[in-house]
Order: sequence, then structure tokens, then C-alpha cells
Amino acid sequence: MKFTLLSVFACSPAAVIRGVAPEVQSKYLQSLHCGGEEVALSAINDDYCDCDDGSDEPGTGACSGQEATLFHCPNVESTPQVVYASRVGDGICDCCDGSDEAHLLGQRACPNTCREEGQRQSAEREKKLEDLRAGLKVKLETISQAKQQKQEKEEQIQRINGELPGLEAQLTELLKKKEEADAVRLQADCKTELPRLRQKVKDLEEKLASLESQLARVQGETTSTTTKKVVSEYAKWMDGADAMEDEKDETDMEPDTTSQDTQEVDGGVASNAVSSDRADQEEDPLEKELKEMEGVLKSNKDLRSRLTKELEELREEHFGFASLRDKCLEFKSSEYTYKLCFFKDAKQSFTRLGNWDGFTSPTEAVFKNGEMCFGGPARSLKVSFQCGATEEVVSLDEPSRCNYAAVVRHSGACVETMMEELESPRIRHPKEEL
Amino acid sequence: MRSPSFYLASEILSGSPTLFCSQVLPAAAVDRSKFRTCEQGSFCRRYKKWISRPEREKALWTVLPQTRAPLPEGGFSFQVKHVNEETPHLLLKLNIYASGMVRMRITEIKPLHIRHEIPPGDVVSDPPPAAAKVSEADESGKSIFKFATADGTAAEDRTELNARNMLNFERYRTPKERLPPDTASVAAPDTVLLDAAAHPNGLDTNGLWEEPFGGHTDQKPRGPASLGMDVSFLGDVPSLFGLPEHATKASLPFYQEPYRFFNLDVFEYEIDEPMALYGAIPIIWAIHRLGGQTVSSGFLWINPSETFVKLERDTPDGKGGPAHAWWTSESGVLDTVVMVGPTPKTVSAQFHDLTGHGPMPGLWALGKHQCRWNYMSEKDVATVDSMYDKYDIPYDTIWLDIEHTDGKAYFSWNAAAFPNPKQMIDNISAKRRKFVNVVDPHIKKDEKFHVYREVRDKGFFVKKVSYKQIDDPTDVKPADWVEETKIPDPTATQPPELFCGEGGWHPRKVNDPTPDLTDFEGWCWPGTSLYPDFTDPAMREYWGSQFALDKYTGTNADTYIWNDMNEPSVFNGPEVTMPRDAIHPNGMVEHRDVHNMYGYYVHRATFEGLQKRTPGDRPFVLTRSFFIGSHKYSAIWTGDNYAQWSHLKASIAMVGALTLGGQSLVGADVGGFFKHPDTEMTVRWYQLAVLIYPFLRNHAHLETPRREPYVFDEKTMLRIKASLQMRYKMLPLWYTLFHRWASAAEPVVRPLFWDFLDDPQTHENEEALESQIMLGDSLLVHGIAKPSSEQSEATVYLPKASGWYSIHNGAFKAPGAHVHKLDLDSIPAYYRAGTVVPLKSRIRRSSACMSLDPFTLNVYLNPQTGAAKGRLYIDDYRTRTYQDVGLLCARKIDFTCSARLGTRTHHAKASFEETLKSSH
Repeated sequence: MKFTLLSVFACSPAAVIRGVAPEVQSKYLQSLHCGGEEVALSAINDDYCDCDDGSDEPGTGACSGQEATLFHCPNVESTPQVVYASRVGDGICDCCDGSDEAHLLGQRACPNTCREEGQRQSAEREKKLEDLRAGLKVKLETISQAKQQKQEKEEQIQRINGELPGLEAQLTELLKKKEEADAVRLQADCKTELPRLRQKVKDLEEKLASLESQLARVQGETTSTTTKKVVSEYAKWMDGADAMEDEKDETDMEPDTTSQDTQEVDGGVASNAVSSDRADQEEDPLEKELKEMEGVLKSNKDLRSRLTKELEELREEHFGFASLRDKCLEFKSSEYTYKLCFFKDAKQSFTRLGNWDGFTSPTEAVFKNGEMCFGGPARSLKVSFQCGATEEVVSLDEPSRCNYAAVVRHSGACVETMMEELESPRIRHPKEEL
Repeated sequence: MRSPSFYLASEILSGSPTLFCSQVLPAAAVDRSKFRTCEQGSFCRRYKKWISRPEREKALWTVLPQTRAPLPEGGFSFQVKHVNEETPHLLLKLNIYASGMVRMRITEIKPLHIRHEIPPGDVVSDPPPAAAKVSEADESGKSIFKFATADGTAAEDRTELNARNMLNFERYRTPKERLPPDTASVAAPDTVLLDAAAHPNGLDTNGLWEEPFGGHTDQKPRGPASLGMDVSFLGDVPSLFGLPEHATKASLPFYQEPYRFFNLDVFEYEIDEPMALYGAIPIIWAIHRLGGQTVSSGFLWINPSETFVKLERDTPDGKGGPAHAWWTSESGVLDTVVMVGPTPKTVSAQFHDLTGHGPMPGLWALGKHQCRWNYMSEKDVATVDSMYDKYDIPYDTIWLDIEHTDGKAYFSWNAAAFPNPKQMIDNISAKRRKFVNVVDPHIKKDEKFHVYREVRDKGFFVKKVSYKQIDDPTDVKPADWVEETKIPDPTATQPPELFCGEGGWHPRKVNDPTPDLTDFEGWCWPGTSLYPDFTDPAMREYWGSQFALDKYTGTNADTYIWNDMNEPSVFNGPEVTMPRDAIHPNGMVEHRDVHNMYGYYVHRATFEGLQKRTPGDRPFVLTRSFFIGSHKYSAIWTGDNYAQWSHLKASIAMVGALTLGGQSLVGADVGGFFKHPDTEMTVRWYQLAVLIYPFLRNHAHLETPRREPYVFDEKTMLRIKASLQMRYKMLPLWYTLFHRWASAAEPVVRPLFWDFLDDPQTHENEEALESQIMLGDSLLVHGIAKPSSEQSEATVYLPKASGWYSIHNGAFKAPGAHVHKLDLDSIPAYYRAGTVVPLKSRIRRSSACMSLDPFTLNVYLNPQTGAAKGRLYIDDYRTRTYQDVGLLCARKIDFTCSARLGTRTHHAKASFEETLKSSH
């Protein structure tokens, strides 16, 4: 019985089930189940929702609100698409062929705009393809350069790793020599210094004894006063100020050391090692050699860590973005000039929006921990990369306070698979759109 | 219809009120120092002393029965004589309305200055409600008025006015006299007791003629004019409700501090507070257990000046027995209405008989509103719109806050961010959605801004008075004046403190009767701003005309309006509002006289403008500030709430109080305006809001992260989406309920007692009172206002009915308390057995997209009778043709089922009774 019905159904030209893609029609022509029950053929597209997943109503809006079964618009002369069931018969023309609003007639009918849409889409696709091809070309070059750089960096690291044991051994040797020399000098020094020092100890002991007796006298005079040390507010403040000054000195020191570090890295052999020892009038040649050796070792280690950091910062999957290293892109809005310096920081005129915090996905990166907003969060900037042959900031907004979002065109976001997508577009789920 | 009998009772109730204290919470966010308490305002402080004076029990006023005269607007008047006066100076007006109300007004017969009265039609309908035939039981002429219904349902008295003899009425007087004119002759002024401002012992004479607060000095050239009275709710009164707008409980706490009505822009308001908020509907609903029956009544205090109301009990534990309230207002006339009930339905009907019925909102107004301070550009708006579509989440309206304007000059656009606003809004229209723009009433002072220039040139701005002191021309040198000879004190090292100056005698200084008036300038969003006098019908007409599509460029007929900051908010004004001594050029009325109605007049002007802009269309206006009668024009939201569980919970009581005040189109910002709700709070807030907020809007502060449904993780997004889908599914129920509101005065959402007055749990059970509320007569909702880490189950009280069905799984529950295990997917909600609920099962992008879809009727049988009843109302959802009979469809649905519940097949018979004619 069912067979007969089916064949009648299948042979009739009306057998095309509305809202179903041609390749899925057969599924409907066999038997449909939902909720563990078979759906009668008469229930398909009868404008009454029997199945929670909407599968019995692929061509009507009866199961609006669910998103499992989508309405297929053929869109002849343009690209077929699927829309939510809620779009079918809601009075809004969603498909260019108007098939989602077939019930609208006369003046209210949806005009068929597929030809125009098709032309517009293919022009857009053409443009995108062009961009993609150009972008991919740039990307390939960038990647090969990045690979070469990576190799160079790795080689350098390897070289350093290879040289370091030798250098360290030399340093040890030098240190040993210096120790020996120091021991010899110390022995000589002891002979001359010892009597003088003994005298000094004696002098100091005498002084101590006299001070102690003085103290005893003074204490005897003031036995009635409290033993608690009285400190004036002023003195306390002074103590505090001293402490603060000490701290300040320490913090002041830090930038200096860093700048020295950079100097060493940039300028190779350290010069401060020598200068700091200027107190010793006559430069010991051994000492000098030792300092130099320490400098060489440090600069090698620094270089190695910089290279390692660079390698970690830009992993192979993001090599397409290697051209952004040491580069800043600008964007001017009506109020501000934004400067995005990749792998470094991002600024809105003079306000720091964040420091580079790395990629968060194949085509997204983030700058974090920018300047604090008044009473609010620290500023941050999300960057979404869009495929293109040129490098530019397309847009920069502040969707919620102090959370910025930029769209940057860059070849690094171009992917080979986009070619396929553009050449023979796949039907996208509405959720994938935008 | 019942007609209440009215009589003047002869006995005087005595007994001093017992004050008791409810807990006072520590300050968390709101800056209390900015806002006045009763004690800090001279008239309230004075009134408190007045009512606690030892001789209070002595009656002061006598109603003179022989002076009875008919009033032109219906009803009749009596003169009222003070014991210390020879001639009566007060007039008492009485109206007894057929629907079961008594209105009592007291004013001065010949005041020195006009005592401001609200024009007819603005609050009380014009023409007023139909008058009842009155039978006078007793006219012995004393100071107590009792009201009771004569319909036999409840023979007992339930409301008494002035039973505790707290009436105070301060007549206008001249500054040079402590007493009003022609009273001085009665006795020596120092011994005359007349009112709180003229007391022989000078109860409190501070602030009678000027009053400083918060760095501002309120000039009071007209002097004291306050008034006050008490009302008693008789019987055993378990709970009082109402008094919107306060962030307090549904069952009103009897705070030590009086509830305050003074419309203000309160930054970060707190919960469980009698502090004033943005709007004022001074109505109390009382439940009386009397003679074995439970009845309800309402009491309305119609006065737009600053008002305090204190709730009191006779018993120290604050429970049981009668309840009392005293009221005091700064100026105007004493105008009260007692709505005698006896059922909640009749109290609501009486209120709307007095104030008018609300209009049907467009169906779209009941859908989801998506707002934020601010969507920053056209692209931003388009993205939000398409993201909703991407996830197939329904919504109806997208909103723009103040940042869309050119420098906060409303009616304009920021051209950089919104170069093509018309196109942007047309794109929204094309999705069958609506658009709302904010238009605030403060006007940017900017020569380039046409609204500023035009309002200024028409002289419509509220004025600032610069008082000059001049010599009082009436003060002449007495004939017997003896010049004092100044004898310098030879021992004094300082000059004498009082120095008469040259000539000795000087006339008294008084305020120039024609002081300089300049446009009042205050600070608001645009910087220097001016405030139009919206009390002036001509100003309202001008304002309304600004919404015409050719005037308000960039808008289309799908654009509607949001009036914010209309208390009015004046950043540098006293208490962040307009100085009370500012002058409204319309009638030279002082701002103090009309303050609480300023916001009302703003949104009314906008409503009337939209009505003219698109004839036949139903306007939509959202207002933050409001007054009695705002329901005829606007939707209300509860202002700048906070992303806190306590605010989520308080919204149940706040919405319930507002609907009892006639304002059914109301809601709180979902998720809270200030700060950011976590995902659980967001979900719980949506789950509650879709079921109980008639006005459903998601809004957020500029400094918060985005919170549109689609920004959350997928699980959260799906829960929000499911809630919104449920809302859209239930739109036919909401719409039908709004028709019941517009045609039969039934609040759309209401506290449980409204439907279940005979179930005492609905007046005393904490959960039933504070966590639960009804949507219509069919759906009970229990809000969840704690995170799951603190609450894993809820005790739901299901009132006495034939049973209840879970909205989520259909499970049947008998009435009573039930423990409900909680999960994050839903909150407890139950359909009452015996109801038919109209629904739409197809959930689409917007309500308009669903307008032609079929209805689904869910039948929840009464298990005893196998029957169910419901209603369905259908019209075109957007035009005013519903007011013409024949263009709508209202059906009563009667469903009976011959088989018992639980069987799959049954013989069902549904009858659809047309109620069209009867409902109009």
C-alpha cells in the first residue's frame, strides 16, 4: 500500500517537496520518522507541525522556532540558500526567488531578484577571488620568508648552544686562574696588613670599653624613665621617608639594569663591566679578560632568549602574519589616530589600548592590559584579520566601554580552502552567516 | 450598582499611634545626603510635630451642614469652620461616584494665592465618573468621614478619614503676619491655634518663608501652604499594597521613615527603602478581614507636590488589627478618593473609572525590546539586528540612547556615526520591527538648535525668579512712633549689635511682587540646558509637533519615543531636580505645586505628538517619571536598577505595585542597568521577565560589557532564547490580557490577593507575597532570586483553586505549598486548572511576522468538572480601529470535556461566545 502511494507520489511532477534541496528529496520520498513514529505522507508540508525537529514541515513555517530543519530556496540564477523555518511565510522576502513567501500574491508578492543578486554575488566573488589569489601569493612569500627566518634563528640558537659549553669552559678556566692569582696576592697582602689590623682591633676594643662605661653611667642616671624607646612622630616620618627613599632607589635601579642589558645585547661586549670596576686603579689584565668573557657569554644567552621568544610568539600556523613583525598600522577616526604595532602594543592617540598578547585563533589576535579606564576595566583591543592582499585597518570600534575591536585586512587570513568556497559556494547554515 | 452611603460620624477615635521600627539597612550605594528625609523638609517635620501635639484629640474643624451647596461638576460642598475662626475659610467638596467611590477635596474659599488644582481631565477624567444617588445617614457635622458600601456584601465600615484628627490645612498668609488675614481679630495671635504653621507654641517655624538644603535655598514668597490628613483601614488588615514607585516589598513595610513621593533621578537606588524614586502613584490598597469576610479597598491621594505618607499600626508587633496612614503634601489642595471595593476587581474598576482606561498597546510593544546605552553607529545597530536573526532569536524593537544625538540636542543625529538614519530605521522596518529613540525634555542651550530657539522665543521655558527686596508700601510709619535715642554704652568694646541706622524707622522689606523672571538654566547631559513648561497645553502642542516626520528628520512611522530624565533631572539642582521656587509661566505656578506631574506632562505631550504624527496608529512612549494617569499614555520602567539578585527580586513587588496603580505596561531593565550580571543571574532574570514584565526590555549602562542574548556562551544563549521563545508563544495571552486591562480595568500582572482574596495565604505568606505574582488569572509565577549555589529548591505556594499545572511539564499539583527542585532551565510557573490559554506555536523574528499565524489553545481542565474557560482577543494589533466595534474579535472560550482527566480521547465541546458588544 505504502509502495503504491510512494510511487504515485514520486511519479507526479508535484512530487517535488517544497523547501527541500534536490539532493535530500529522496529522504522524504522514502519514509520519514520523528519522535519514534513514522510520519504519514499526508502530514508532510500540511502546515501543521508534527515533529519537534520540524522535519515534517520543510516547506512551511509551521515548525517555526526550531532550527533543525531548514527551508531550501533554489534561487535559480543565484546561489541556493537555506533559511530558518521562521522565515517561511512571515511576510518578509528572504530568498531572492521569493520561494519563502510563495503565498504572497499580486502587488505584495516577492519580486524575483535572483538574476541581480546572482550577478552581484558573482561580481563580489570575483573580487574576493582576486583578493584571495593575490593574498595567497603574498602569504606564500611571507611564509617562506618566515620559514627561512625561523631556520636562521634556529641555526643561531643552535650555534649559540654549541658555543656556550666552550665559552663556559673558558670562563671557568679564567675564574680558576683568577682565584689562584688572588690567592697569591692575598698572601702578600696578609703579611703587610696583619700587624696594622691587629692594632686597629686593639684600638676599637678600647673605644668600646670606654663607650660601655659611658653608657652604664647614663643608664644609671635615667633608671626612672621608661625603657621604651621614645620616637617622635617626626622621627617616625623620617624613618618612613628613609625607607621610601630606599625603595625608590631600588626601583630606580631597575630600568638602569634593563637598559644596560639591552645595551649589552645591542652593543655586544659589555662596557659597564669595566667601568664599574674603575675603583681599582690599575686594571688587572686577567680581570679584564674575565669581564670580557662574561660579557660574551651574557650577550649570547640574551640573543638566544630573544630568538626563542620570537619563535614562540609566531608559531608556524601564523607564519602568514610574519610581515607584521616590527610593523605598525594606522587608522584615523574622526577623533583619534590609532596605531597598531603588532607583537608590541596598540595605541589610541596617546592612550595605550594594550600590549600584544598573541593570537587567539587562526585569524584573531588580542592586545591586553592597556591603560585603565576610569572606574572600569583595563583597555583591550581584539583584532580580527580579513583576507586581502594589502595590509590595512578596515575598521576600529569600541563596542563596549574600553573594549576595542579592529578589523585588519591582511594576507595572513587568506586560506586556500576559501578558493573552493568561492568557486563553488556551499550552502551555509544561517548560523554561519555574517 | 452599589452606591456607597456617606455619613459624618459623630464619635472621635482616640488613641495615639504606636510607632515601630522596621529594620534599617546600611547604606550601600545611594548618596543619601543628596535627598531629603521627612525630618529635613520643613513641612513634613512640622506635620509630624502637629500630629504628635498633646491636644490633638480635640476636634478643630466643623463641617457646616447648613452650607451644603451643589457643585457645578456634580457632588456638593460644605464650608468648614475652624474652632478659632468666626467665618469658615475652608471648603469641603464631596463627590460620590456610582462605581463605588467617594472623592473628598478640601481647599481654601478665598486664598491669598491660587492653590494649584490639577486641571480636569489630567488625572480625574473629564467629565468625571457618574455620580451616585446619595442617601445621607447622618449630617451631624463632625470631623470623621466613614465610608461603607450599601450593597450588603460588607456592612462594616472599612475606611475612615481623619479618624485620628490629623487634618492640617495651612492657608496662605502674608509674610508680615504669622496668621492668615482676618484671623488675627479672633484672638491675640500668640494664642491662636490654626494649623501646623500657626501654633501658639510655634511648633516649628523653620523653613516657612525660605528653606536651605544641599547648598540651595528655596525661596518661598508664598509661605507655608502644606496640608495633611490621616486615613484608617478598619478591620483586621493583614497587608497594605501599592504606593508606587518605591523600591520596597509588595506587602508594604511599616517603616519608621515615611514613604516619600518626590520624583527624582536617584543614582543607584537601593532596595527595601521608603525613599522617593522617579514616579508617583500615591495609592494604597488595603485588605480588610471584616465580619468573617475578606474585602479590599483603595485610597488615592491626588497631589502633585512633595508628599509623605506614613503607615502605622495600633499594635506594637505591627501585625493584625487596623492599619493607618497619614499623608502630608507641601501645597495645593487636599484631594482624596476612597475606592470602596469590595473585591480587588471592583477597586481596579473604580480606579480606572476615575482616571480613565489605558489604551491597547501595539502588539510589538509586548515583544522583546533590545536597548543599550549605547549602540554607537548604524553599523552597530545593523549588527545587533542581524545577530538576533543569525540565532533565530525573536525581538521586536531596537533602541538608541542619548549618544545617537548631535551633542545631546534631541531630535538630531550624530552625523559621523549616523550619516543615514532613515535608511538604518527603514532596514529595521523591513524586518517588521520597530525603532525607539530617546528624546529627553531638557533642551540644550545652543543658538544652532531650533528647538531651543523656538521654545525660548515662545516664552515656554520654566523661569527662575530673582527676588528683589523692596520696601513694603503698606508699611507706614506709625503716628505714635517715638524715635529711640541711641545712647552709646561707654563700657562696650564692640559696636552695638542692633543699630537702627539713620532716621530710626524703616518700612518693612518685602519681596518685589513683580520679580525678574529669566529662563531657568540647569545642567544635564548637553551641559547648560533649559526646561520647557510642559504643564502648558500650548507647549505640549509645540512639543508634539516636533515628532512630525518632516520635522524629525531621519525617522519613519515605525519610530517611537523614549522620554528619560523627566523628573526633571537637573544635575546641579537641589536633589538633582528643578528648584521648587522656579516658576512655570503657565499660570505663574511654582514648580513645587506641580513637581510630581512634570514627567507626566512630558510623556503625555510626546504621546499626543505621535498620535498626530501617524493618525490611527497606536503611539508608544516609554517614560521614567510618571504620575496617576500616566497609564493612559505611556509605558513605564523602574529606572536605573542594578545587576543584583536583590533588584531582580524587588522587581516582582515593584511591577505588582505599579500595576495596582493602573500602570500595566511596565517592566524593569532585564539584567539590571548598572554593573554586569553573571550568566546565571541573566538567565534567571530573563526567565522571570518573560512571564511577568509586560514591558520587556534589556538595557545596560555605557560602561558595562555587551549583554545581548547572543554574546553569552551557547548554553546560556539557548536558555535565554528559550525564555524569549516562550514569551512570543504567549503573546496572544498577553494581548488578550491587555484587552482586559484596556476594557475591563484588570491589571495584566497582579499580586496573588487580586485573584485569591479569600485565601489568607495571599495576604500573609512571605513567599506568596514577595516571590510570586500572577499573569492574568491563569498563570502563577515564582521568581528565583538567588544563585543555585545558595538555593537548590523553592517553596511555591499554589493558592486555593481547583488545581495547577506546571507550565513546563504539565504536571498537576493540588493547591498548597510545594517544594520545587530547581534547575537552570526554568523557574516555577503554573497554569490554574480550568483555564484555556491562547498561544501561538510558531515563533518568528518579530511579533508582526507572527500576526497571521494560527492560534494554539491549551486547555487546562478543572479535574473536578472537566471544564475550562478562557478568552481570546484579536484585532489588527497596531491601529486604533479596535475602538470601533466590529473591527475586532473578542471571544470567551468555554470548554467542557465529558471524559475524565488522563484519558487520551474525549468528547470535547468548545463554545465561543462573542463578547464584543458587552465589552464595549
